[in-house]
Amino acid sequence: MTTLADYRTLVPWAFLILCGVHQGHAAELLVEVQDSKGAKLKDAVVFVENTKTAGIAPTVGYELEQKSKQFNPQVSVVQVGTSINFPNRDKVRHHVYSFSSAKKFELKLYSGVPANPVLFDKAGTVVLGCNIHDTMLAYVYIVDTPYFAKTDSNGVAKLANVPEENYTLKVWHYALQQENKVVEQSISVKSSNKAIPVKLEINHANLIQGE
Amino acid sequence: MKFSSLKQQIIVIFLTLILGIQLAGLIPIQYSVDKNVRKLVGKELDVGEKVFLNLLESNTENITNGAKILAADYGFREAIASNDQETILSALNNFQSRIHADIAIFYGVQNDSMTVSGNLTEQEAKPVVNHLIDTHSASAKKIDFEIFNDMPYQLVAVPIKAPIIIGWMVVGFEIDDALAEKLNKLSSLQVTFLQRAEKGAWLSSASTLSRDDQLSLIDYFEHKAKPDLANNEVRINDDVFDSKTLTLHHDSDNMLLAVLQRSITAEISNYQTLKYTLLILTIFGLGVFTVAIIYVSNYIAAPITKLSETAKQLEQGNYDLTIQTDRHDEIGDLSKAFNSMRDAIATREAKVARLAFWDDVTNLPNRVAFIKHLGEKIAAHQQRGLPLTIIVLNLDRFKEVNKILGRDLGDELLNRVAQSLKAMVRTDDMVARLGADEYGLLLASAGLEEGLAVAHKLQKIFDTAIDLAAQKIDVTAGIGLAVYPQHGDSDEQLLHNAETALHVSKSKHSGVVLYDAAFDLGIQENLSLASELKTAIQGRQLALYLQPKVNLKTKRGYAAEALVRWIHPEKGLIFPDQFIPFAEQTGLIKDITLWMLEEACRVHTELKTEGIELTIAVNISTRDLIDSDFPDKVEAIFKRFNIAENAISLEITESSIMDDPVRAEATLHRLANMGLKIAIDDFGTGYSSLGYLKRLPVKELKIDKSFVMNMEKNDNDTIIVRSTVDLGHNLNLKVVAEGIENIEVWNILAKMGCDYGQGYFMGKPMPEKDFKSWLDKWEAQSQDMAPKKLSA
Repeated sequence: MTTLADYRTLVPWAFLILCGVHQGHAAELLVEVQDSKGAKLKDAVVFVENTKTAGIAPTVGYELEQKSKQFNPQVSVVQVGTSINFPNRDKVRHHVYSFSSAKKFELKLYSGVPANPVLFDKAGTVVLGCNIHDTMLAYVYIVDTPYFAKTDSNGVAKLANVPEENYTLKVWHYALQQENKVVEQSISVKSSNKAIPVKLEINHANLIQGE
Repeated sequence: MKFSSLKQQIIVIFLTLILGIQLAGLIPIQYSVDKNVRKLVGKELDVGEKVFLNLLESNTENITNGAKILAADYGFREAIASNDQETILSALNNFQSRIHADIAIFYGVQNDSMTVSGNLTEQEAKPVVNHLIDTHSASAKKIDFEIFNDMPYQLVAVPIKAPIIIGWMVVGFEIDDALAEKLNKLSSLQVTFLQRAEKGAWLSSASTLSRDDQLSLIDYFEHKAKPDLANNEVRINDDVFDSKTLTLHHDSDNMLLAVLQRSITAEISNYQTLKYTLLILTIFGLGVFTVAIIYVSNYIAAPITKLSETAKQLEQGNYDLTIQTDRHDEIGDLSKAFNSMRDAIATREAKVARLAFWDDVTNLPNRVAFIKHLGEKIAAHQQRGLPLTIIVLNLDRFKEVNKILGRDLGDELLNRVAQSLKAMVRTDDMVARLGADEYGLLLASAGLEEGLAVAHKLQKIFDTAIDLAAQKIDVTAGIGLAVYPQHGDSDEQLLHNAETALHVSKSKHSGVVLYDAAFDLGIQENLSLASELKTAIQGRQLALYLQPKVNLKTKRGYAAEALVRWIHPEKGLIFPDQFIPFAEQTGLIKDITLWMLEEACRVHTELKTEGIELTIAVNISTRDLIDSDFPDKVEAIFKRFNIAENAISLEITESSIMDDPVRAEATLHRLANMGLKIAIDDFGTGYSSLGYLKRLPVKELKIDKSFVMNMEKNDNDTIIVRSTVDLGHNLNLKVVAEGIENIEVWNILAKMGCDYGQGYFMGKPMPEKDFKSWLDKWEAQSQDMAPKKLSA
């Protein structure tokens, strides 16, 4: 059964496919993220930037629900200009806030779907909490590029339809040893490229359990 | 130390023992109390430590919770997010005063900013805060202590999350006396916080101890190179504390210790009451024990003391003490044994005393007792001026009685006399046996007249014969008297004088004789005579007197008894009474006898020349009879005078034979064999048995003059004489009657058939030269002598 969210997620993919077709050759970029001990790292944010990637408006909004007194997903990556909706799917009310400089806001006690989504118009890290429930935690990483992805449970991030150009590959993880110290490397995207391995220094204590 | 008495020994030994036991008991108690208290205090200290730590933890938790509230405050977090320093500081101030914290610090993670509320600079706070934050995540519940400005603080760091950590809240409480007091209240421990900067001196930050004690404790730590964290006994002033040291904080700069202590001394002092109770019980027990021991030792020793006292009394001759005991133990046995020993000694001593002062035969006091009593009486009477009389009484011829009747009857006789004497005197008078046959009487308070009266009464005892073993025995006695104070004022003198009187009485057969000073002279005379006797024998002072014996039938047929007289050159004629006893004693009698024999032979020879054939009888004594040479001497005399044996006859008394009957018999037989005629003199006064007499070679009996003299008036005497005459004739003996003093007696005797007579009637003893003229005179008158005429 296809939900509304499914549709929304499909939109960028369709766009990317169209662009790739439009701008010539595009390639799929695979990045494998591990911690320093070689363990596969999930929820690492992988994105590429160059001069052409900034300022591209996102086409679609984003939804970050609260369910079972948890944010879902707990780690999100969105393009600058994305409006995120925070539907409350619990019976209790939540008070979602952010003191992060990339986006300060609060959604005072509410239930159901708030009237207005929150626009994230600045690149950076936003840490979300609930003033009622201290254990609720979510990271929203805002990038100014349309080419980004999160590593899956295998630690692999797959960036599709990336034009074959030179980029700066950046990898961020919320539990980085050095907070917000994005790991960068220059890459050249080609179709023949193999998966790029990236190692991160992780503070395991800060890993969200159960993710 | 030595204890002389058994009682002291018992008391000392047992008290020492009980004291030792009590002390031996107290020492383990003391040890045990000590050990237990230490153990207890150690446990309390362990528990206290847990309480202490728990308290600090819960303190931390309280602070943490307070800090968390602030950390979770949305507005506060908002202020942090907006980096509003003033708001942050005011919030910290507010918070600090709300929970009475001494320090409140905010540290912002994102921009490394620090906001400090409290008496502290950022520079001072920073390293501590960084350290706290660094170590925070490592252990969830950590109690942190830090020292700022030489002040120790308990610190808590709490992260501020939004929702990730955006900053830290650090809250600090000064460690002060209030905290120490609080800890003390809950843990009951003395709490002292000591701190030391690097190489600095120890300081007491807070303490429940007094200032002095704190200094003492600091002193202890100063002198301890490396503080020991284990339980340690620390002496602080007068108290001993079990101590435990916790290191609360230790870094390169500072060190903070918590010293937890519990006083052993105080704990032990709780037992002090117990000790005092024990001590009181011990003292009380000792008291009770002492009383018991004294009682027991008395119970044991007192009878022994009593025994020894009684023994001392015994030593002094007091036998009246009896040890009363109803005990059945060894002491009781000892007491009884002691009593019976005392009785035995008393009995024996009484016996000894009796032997010394008593005569068992007569059951009378003896001579010693008599003299003693006499001395006492004299002493008593001297003071009161009272007279007393002593009478000395001696039985005549007791020796013969003893010899003839045997000692048992002799004793019986003595006893009888003793009883008779005792019956005659009053109870306060004394009768004693002074010697073999001599009695003494002490008439207390009797004067001269009374004494004489008693003496005469005593004499009457002897008037009647005494029945002894179916025999009637005629006993006579000499009696001498001496009266105090006339006759002497000492016991010895008085007794001597009484005995002198007795001697006179005996020698003169004069019955009762009162002492006279003249007696002493007489006795002296006797003594001087005795010394002269020997010279008298040799110096021819002795003279032979003849008393004629006449045939009662024919009035002729003469014989004579030779009697000795002493013609003293100065004193004249002395009768034999006065020297014969002495001669008997000294043995001079033998010389006298021989002289008499010679003289008799000479007289016989001389009379023969005048035509008078006279048999002369010579008395011989005991000493002659026991002299085995006597017959030879007699024979030698006869040979010298060349005379026939029948010219001389011998007279012996019964008593002289009885001294040594066997030898006497042998001597008499030899004399008789020589042809000498032997007569028994004084017959009837001795106790010789007829059976014995029969065996002797005797030809003649001479009846004692005492039977003859009063014959005509006394029928009994007549009967005795007649019987004796018949007896003599039946034994084929001639019978001679002595003591014929008148014609009546002559006639009676002649009628009885008595063979010869002798007496004043016929003629007194006379010198030999007078004999011829007597004979002529007698022959002249005797032819006309007719009973009728004579009796007229």
